[in-house]
Amino acid sequence: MKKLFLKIREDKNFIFTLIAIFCAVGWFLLVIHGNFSRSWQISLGLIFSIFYFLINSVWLAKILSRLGFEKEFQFVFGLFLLLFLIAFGLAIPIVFYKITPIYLAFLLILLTIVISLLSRLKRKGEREETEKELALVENNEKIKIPKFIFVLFGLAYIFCWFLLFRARTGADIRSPWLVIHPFYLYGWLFIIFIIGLLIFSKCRLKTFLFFIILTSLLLHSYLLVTYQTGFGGDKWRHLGAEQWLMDGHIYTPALFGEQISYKQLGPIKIPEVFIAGNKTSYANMWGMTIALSWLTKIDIFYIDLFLGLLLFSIFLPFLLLKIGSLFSKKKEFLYLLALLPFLFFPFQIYGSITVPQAFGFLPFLFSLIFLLEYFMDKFSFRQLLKRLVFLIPFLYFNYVLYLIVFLEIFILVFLLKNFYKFKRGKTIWLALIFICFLVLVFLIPLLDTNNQYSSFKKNLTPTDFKSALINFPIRILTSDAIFPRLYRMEQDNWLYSQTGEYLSRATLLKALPWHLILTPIILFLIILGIINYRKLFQPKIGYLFVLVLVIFLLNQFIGSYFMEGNHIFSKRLVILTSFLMMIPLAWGIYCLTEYSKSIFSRRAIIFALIMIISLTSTTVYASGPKFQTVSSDELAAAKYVWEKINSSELTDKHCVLANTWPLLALEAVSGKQIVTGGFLNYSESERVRLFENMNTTPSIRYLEKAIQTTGAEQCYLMTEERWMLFNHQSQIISQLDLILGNHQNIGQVMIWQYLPR
Amino acid sequence: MNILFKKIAGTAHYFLRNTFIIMGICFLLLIIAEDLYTGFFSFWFDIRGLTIGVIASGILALFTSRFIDQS
Amino acid sequence: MKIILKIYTILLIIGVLVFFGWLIYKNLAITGKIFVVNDFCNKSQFIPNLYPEDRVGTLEKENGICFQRIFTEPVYFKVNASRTFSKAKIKIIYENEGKSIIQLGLMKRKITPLDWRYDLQSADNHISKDNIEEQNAEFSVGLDNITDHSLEFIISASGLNEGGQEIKIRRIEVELSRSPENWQAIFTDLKNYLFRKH
Repeated sequence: MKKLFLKIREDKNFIFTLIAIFCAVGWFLLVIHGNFSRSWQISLGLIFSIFYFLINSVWLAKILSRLGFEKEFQFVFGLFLLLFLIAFGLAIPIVFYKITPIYLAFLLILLTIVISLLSRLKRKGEREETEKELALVENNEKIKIPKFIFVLFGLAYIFCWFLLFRARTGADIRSPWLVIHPFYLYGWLFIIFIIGLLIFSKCRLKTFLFFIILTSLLLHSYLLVTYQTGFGGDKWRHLGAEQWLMDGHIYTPALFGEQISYKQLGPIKIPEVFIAGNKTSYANMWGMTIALSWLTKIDIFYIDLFLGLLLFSIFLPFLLLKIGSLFSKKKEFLYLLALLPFLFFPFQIYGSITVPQAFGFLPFLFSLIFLLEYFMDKFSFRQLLKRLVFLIPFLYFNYVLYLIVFLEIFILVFLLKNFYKFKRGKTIWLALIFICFLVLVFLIPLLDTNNQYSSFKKNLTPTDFKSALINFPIRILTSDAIFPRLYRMEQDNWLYSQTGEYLSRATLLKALPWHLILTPIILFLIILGIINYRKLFQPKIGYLFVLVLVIFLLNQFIGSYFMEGNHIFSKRLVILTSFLMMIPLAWGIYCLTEYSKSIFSRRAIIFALIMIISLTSTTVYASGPKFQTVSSDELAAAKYVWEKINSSELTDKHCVLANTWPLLALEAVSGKQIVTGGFLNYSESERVRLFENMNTTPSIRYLEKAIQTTGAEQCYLMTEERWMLFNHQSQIISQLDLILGNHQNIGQVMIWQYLPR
Repeated sequence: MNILFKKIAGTAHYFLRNTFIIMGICFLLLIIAEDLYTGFFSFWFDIRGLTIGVIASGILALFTSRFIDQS
Repeated sequence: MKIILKIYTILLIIGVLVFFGWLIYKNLAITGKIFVVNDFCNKSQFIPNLYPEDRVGTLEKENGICFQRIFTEPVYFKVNASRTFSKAKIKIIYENEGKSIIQLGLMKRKITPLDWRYDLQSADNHISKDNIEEQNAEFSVGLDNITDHSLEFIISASGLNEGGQEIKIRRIEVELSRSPENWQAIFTDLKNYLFRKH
């Protein structure tokens, strides 16, 4: 394998360039001839894709090695960058126009040529690459782990997978923990404990990463495996959008192919497409999903199920190690950093689903590496600007919050670097930093007010400020919700998802109020880490992260106490807050094991800290999510209704009266042809009222009103017994059968069709 | 006095450590039994006392750990 | 010192084993009878308080007597049981202002969440002094009545909702009985408990 990699890197006579182009062309020919549906075609397509990815990843690894990436990271980051370059390349036409398979083929060929040429570029006087190594600094005192522990680890691992599959269900459940056996959590506790021991043993980096990825796949599969139809509500909207785009449609607003809509931005009028955050933020995720579906012929439903989980499990540890290596090369610290995403609920859940907020976090971390390397004096400002020429557009076609945060950190890095660099004029730089700090504290709350998504509360008094100042730290200390629970749906927090309810029946969770004990301990370790930043080789990187963390916490403070509405940006800082807590937490734990010999024995404190990490991870894991989902009956019913509508020759106006969740499924299966059942939006009160009425006192006039509102020629009613008036279900069903004819049963879902004469 | 204190602490560490381990295993077995047979212990007593006892013995074992050479 | 440590460790292990033995003894109900009470003064592990919350009051104490009020009927209470029993004798002691007719019932196991089947029984009333009434009922109990290791009972008080009166439940006593343990069959019975959980 190493010889093959070397040959690819050399690429004598452009042979591998030609092979990669051939793979892209070959795939495209399979698509346009024979429709790429026979098994031999699919196998051939997969082979083409594998070779294409392998060759281009090796070249990107070569480019990254020139940019200073260590050899342990090069290939993985090469593969990462290739995937996101494809996503970026497809995002551009998705935003401005539309996409087709020929565009993807063109993109793949163009990328191959560019990457191949760039990988051959050498700077003047540059010798053959000297491979930079990570060079971890190890402690000589190591824990010995008996071999039988690994056998137990394997057994626990398999047992946990068994329990997940045993819990698999198509029913509508509020939380996966209602169906996952409590023993899964004990298995998880044991697995994390073993991984914790590995950190302080003589485990090599490759082996450790192998265990981390394996464990991460298990952790993040609890939603994938448990829910037959997948978890979440927004996923259906994204599936609908992806199917719409794959069918060759334009996703409005666009720049070409339809009338351009404009928006006023101060004194300027610009095409809406440039500031349609809900399109530019999602386009790269749609692009990658569509590309992988076209390349592998796997349905986008399954790509969507697995993509987020695989991206997080494989790439996040490497991204964290790379960023962590800029802080310190201490092995235990870096290993801890790779483990700690298992502790925080935002990382647990966002690594389990494919949503733009999680998807976009990874390219943000990748871009952050360059910013931090500049801050650590690895290259000049001029070289940073060259990188920004690519990174800014790269993040523009990404979840927009991360672009904003990246620019914020860029400004802080610039100011702080000059503060540290110049011996004179420090006061001016400090003043600038302070002004910048004040601006950034209010920036994200102000952005929340965009499009009236949020607004500042009126009639605030000094008492409100006082109680907010006392209440906010208490909420952080007790893992209480920072933002109000809207619509009774649980919102994630920086550590625990929620603390008001036991979702799993595991007795361990009820033994003590763990969140009240463990949250202060974790915060203590974080503060300890921050205090010990002075022990870092260059503490300034730690102080930068502290400054950014304080800004985000203040953003959330302002958003939750002094504003009302959706908090579209400040609420979504949660994964960033957890990330910024993770680094001082890892450093604090490391420092406690290294520098507390006068208080504890090293073995004892390591054991105690691993116990704390394991307990925290397990209790946080079991704290959420709590959310409604689409059941398999609802998905099947949505498919049935779509088939009926699609086969009838009626107008493009549709009417489907149902609960929100089957309508989300319908949006996906119809490829966005039916959105919210033909009504205005999911929370439209008229739709909700009509649906409720049909479930309590059914009458033709409600369906006629629905037809009138949607402009359709017929209307479907989809409902279940659980939505009907209690103790009157059979009467209501009989009445509906009487007025609309016999219903169709799809599992628990009942469907009626109303066709006015 | 200082040396005596360190000796006592060092000796106490082993007792506390064994208490922590055995009571910890007891705790784990109890919660597993409760999950298998609802009410196995919860109908008869409150486990919070045992949990706090396990944690307390663990903390004391931790703080006496540096004296084990002195025992 | 090492010997003392060893003895201490062995004693701890023996203590844990004895403790587990005691728990199994209690859970098996060796004597064949369990008698549990909720007097609404102290939290009872076996008989949690009445529900649903919107039909009952909170726990109250007047002149040293604890009780829970019922405003709307029917209300329910659970009796936690570590294993199956064959008979359940219920006694409730209450103050009945409006003299509603009280009936007790035992729920059947729910097959669906909305499943609501129960056997109601009218029983003898004993009016003692100060309008304190006592109601007794006896039920045959089987696997069909156990949901999540508990028996669910219903208290029906017809006329309560219309009359605007209240009932103060002071005490619930439950005697659960099964055939007592035969020491020769103890291992069979233990196997039944461990593997079939009844």
